[in-house]
Amino acid sequence: MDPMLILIGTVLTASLVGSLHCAGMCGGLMLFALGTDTQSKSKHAKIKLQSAYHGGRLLTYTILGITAGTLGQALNFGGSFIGIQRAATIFAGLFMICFGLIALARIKGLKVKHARAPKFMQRAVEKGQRLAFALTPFKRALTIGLLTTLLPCGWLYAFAFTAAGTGSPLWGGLTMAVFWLGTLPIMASLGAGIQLLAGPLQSKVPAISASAVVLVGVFTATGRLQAPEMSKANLNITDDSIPTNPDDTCPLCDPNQPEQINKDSGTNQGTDPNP
Amino acid sequence: MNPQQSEPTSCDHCGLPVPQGLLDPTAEHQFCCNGCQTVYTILHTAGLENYYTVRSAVDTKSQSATTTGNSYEELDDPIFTKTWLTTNDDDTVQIELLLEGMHCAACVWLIERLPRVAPGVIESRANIRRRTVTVRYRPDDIKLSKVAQSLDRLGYAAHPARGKKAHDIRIKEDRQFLIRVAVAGAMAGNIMLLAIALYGGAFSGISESWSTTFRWYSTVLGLLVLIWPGRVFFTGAIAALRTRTAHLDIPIALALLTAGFWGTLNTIRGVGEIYFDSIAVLVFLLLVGRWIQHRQQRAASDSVELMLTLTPSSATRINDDGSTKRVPIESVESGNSLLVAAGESFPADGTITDGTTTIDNALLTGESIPITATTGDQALAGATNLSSPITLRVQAVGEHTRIGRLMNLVAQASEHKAPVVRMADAIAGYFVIIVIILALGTFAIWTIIQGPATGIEHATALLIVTCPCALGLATPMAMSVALGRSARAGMLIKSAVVLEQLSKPGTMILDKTGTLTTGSTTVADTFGDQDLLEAAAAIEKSSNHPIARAIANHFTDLPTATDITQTTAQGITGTVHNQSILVGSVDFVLRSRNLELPPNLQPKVVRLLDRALTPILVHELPSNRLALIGVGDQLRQDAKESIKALQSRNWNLQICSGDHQRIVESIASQLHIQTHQGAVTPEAKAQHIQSFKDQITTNKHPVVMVGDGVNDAAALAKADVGIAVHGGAEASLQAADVYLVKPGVTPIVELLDLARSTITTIRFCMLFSLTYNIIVASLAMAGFINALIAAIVMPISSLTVVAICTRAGKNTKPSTSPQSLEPT
Repeated sequence: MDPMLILIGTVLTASLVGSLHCAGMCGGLMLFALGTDTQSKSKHAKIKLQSAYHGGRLLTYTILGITAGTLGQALNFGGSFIGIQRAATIFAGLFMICFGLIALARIKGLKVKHARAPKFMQRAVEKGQRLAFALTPFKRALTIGLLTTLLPCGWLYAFAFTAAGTGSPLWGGLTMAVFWLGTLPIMASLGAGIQLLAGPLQSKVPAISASAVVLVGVFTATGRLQAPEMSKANLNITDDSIPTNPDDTCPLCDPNQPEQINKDSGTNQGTDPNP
Repeated sequence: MNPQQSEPTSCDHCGLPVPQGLLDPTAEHQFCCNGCQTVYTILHTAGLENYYTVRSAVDTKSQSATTTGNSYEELDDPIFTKTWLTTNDDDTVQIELLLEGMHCAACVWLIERLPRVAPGVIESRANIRRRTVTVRYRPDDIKLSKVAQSLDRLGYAAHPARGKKAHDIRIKEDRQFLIRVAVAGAMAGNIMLLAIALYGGAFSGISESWSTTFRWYSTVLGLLVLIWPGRVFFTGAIAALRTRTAHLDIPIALALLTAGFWGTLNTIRGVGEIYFDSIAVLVFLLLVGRWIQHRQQRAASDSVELMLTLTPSSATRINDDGSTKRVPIESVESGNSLLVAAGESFPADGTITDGTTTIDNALLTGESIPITATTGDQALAGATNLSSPITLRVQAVGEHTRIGRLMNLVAQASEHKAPVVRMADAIAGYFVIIVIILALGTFAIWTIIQGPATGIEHATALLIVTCPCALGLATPMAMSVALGRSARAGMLIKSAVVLEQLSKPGTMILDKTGTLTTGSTTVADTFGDQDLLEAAAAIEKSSNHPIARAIANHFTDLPTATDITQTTAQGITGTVHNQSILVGSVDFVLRSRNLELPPNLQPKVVRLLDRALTPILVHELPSNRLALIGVGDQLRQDAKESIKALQSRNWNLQICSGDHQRIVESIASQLHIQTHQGAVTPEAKAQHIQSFKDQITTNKHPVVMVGDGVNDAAALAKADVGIAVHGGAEASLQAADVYLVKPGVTPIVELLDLARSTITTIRFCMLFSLTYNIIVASLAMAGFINALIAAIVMPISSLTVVAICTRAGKNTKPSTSPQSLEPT
């Protein structure tokens, strides 16, 4: 199955499901980002502000995703030296499974405290918001959108881990862009009005979101959300593709049989030393 | 809140439940996560805590902009509310608003859920044909501007429903609609050209760069189609989701969104199919279908259109310089002077400023005798100027005239939904849900078998090809068409329920006078010399007795009569050409002149009595000539044939009349009606109908009363369907469900045929729709229909259903003009 489709489908679905909380948490900031100017009747002005806010979110999420993907790639690279393939993928997946299970446990009543966000992040967000309120509407909306990443949102960082798990900057960025896309419908249409949703659905949101995180974690840990270039198939790594020395002799040990390394596949093939 | 309580604790920021494991009994505030706590702190630190007040209001400013950006503040103006609002007894107020964008029965569902999104609104009743909504709300709880904003956010911009502005708005709406259709068509054409190149290239080969270029061009144009003309479907779907309504736009929007997203993704990836040709064609054909439907509904029974069937569409306006000009009725305004020629219908309500004439007001008041009108008298739109040209100063025109208000009443018929319409609405709702479930299932199964690309393709094809139009669209449309046709045929139907009730045979109770008979005393037969008969008429002319008037009106070229003496209720005598003529009842004449009835006249007298006619004898002295005149309320010419037709349609007929038992018996005998009652008062008629209804245990056997709109009002109101055939339209429609403008019994038969034809059409459409959907859904799920074929097939089926519906009541003959109606 196409790995890109799996990634997009999984992340999008999970993001859509959990976006109800996004509207509730960020609704207040979004409200003031878009302004409360009732004098302005221009539909275009409102669309412009919406675009600035959500565009700012998209940009910051994508940057986060690229950063996470780069870190994941580095982790994979480092892990490969100590014999652990796809280290970032496994780590991210396990983290998300734990995250989701802890959330479910809290719903059931188990007392597990929050991991507090660093104080400097909160200070940075507060300072940034204060500065933003002094800006013109468009810049304010853009700035508040850009600052969203700094909010200590467990849901957001869970997907950042997914992005890291892809082991690729490009795919990490794509992951967070898809995550952004999943939050868009609810936030663009309802904004802070999460109370407008059906009553029964409201009470189920935490459990549904936590389950979605566990599911994404499982997908990640099993390698189904990693970048294609990391997969065995793309690297043409199969048992058959690794040639065996007919003499069963280590090529490095036999100076009479110099080996030519196939630069494309990274495998050793026995070749004629005299081209 | 005490976390030990069983009530879930809500997050003080977002309102979602706080997990039990995070509840802190010592904390002042509870939060569901770090993020909410941080944002809560930020808002309070910045002094923005009033956000929590704003958030709890339904009409929070954080919601997305209204579709038009209007605030509708002008609707709160005191002068406006005083003019347009109606105050009810329960302290609620009511207003009728014209809505842009209402196009189908599903829109009616949405709009009627306005109370859910606008607290303070009690009731919201939509009229699809007139594109209006009647909103009843509490002014203390919600302002009119907020009501209008709520409607706007659902996707329907609101305006006051009456006046010229409503007409202008309709024109503007039509223009915008056509622009959307044109843009969709232009885009579809261009995308199809690109698609042909790509399809051709798939077979014969195409360079990668060209392929990529065409794919990107298709994507850009396709997305434009979705953003601009196709936006109406997304707006409808979002509004439906917000009001939790199974709107027809949901599967369409889902299909467009899926196909658009998938196609865009494939374009970016450079592999796989793109579906923008299907999307563009689908949007274009759907918009065309909706345009046709929109026009059909407008023409079917718009109150303005209805009114124009009964009043002229143009008038002769007198300019200030005295010249005259023929102008369309829409340009006539209050205060204009119009010239109304003899034989022409009055185009507006007004005062006669010059001339004297006689006016026939039969349509409105039921008065069969023309009245004389001169300078200073009132004339009504729809009445006929019989004798002389006059000048009229206009006081009211269009829907402000009496006839216009009457047509408004008729046009509101669809607000009372017939059971079949309610059933269709319910089925359409379930249909939408079932289709979405099947689409999800199709996607899941095909994804497992062949991958998500195939799954999406087949699911999209299913969403596109299935069409609930016959359910949600056809039924109300067929009703609209039938009501419009019936109005043009002179059958004014107040409630659409009538059509369903009359579609099956039941019991019909008929009044005699005015229904089965002409309702007036006339000369039915004569025997004797013509000059003697004319002499009798000349003498009768002096009397006001109905029989005397009937005889006097029957003959022309009357001689001069002198020495007239009348014996009350018996006879009259006079002199014509020096001959003494006595005219009166047979007994009176024979007794007065000491005569015996000659043998040749005896059988004639008996025959007249058998025909329920009154025999009048004429005797001349000194010639001793005798003549005989048969006078009575005659059976209508079409009565026998029409009654036979009703009986052949399995209707159980009864006569219930206030006239003499013997006359009723005679009429019943002539018409072969077994059950009859004479000398029945109007109150007794009503009781008879009620007791009859009480005996019937099934509601599938309608009890219909046909009678005088004024005298039989009580009985008409008691019956399941009351049909008024006499008494004037306005008064009749207060009590009756139907008013037949044309006299005679034939219109009753036509009405029943119309009702049956309409219901048959509706059932056929439903069956067609069901069969079509089962077949195409099966083919789509099995993978035999792709998105492009689906995009072509679905609008064709929709248009087919619309075309079938327009045939509802097709054989009903229109009434050509009021002048063509014979006087009652």
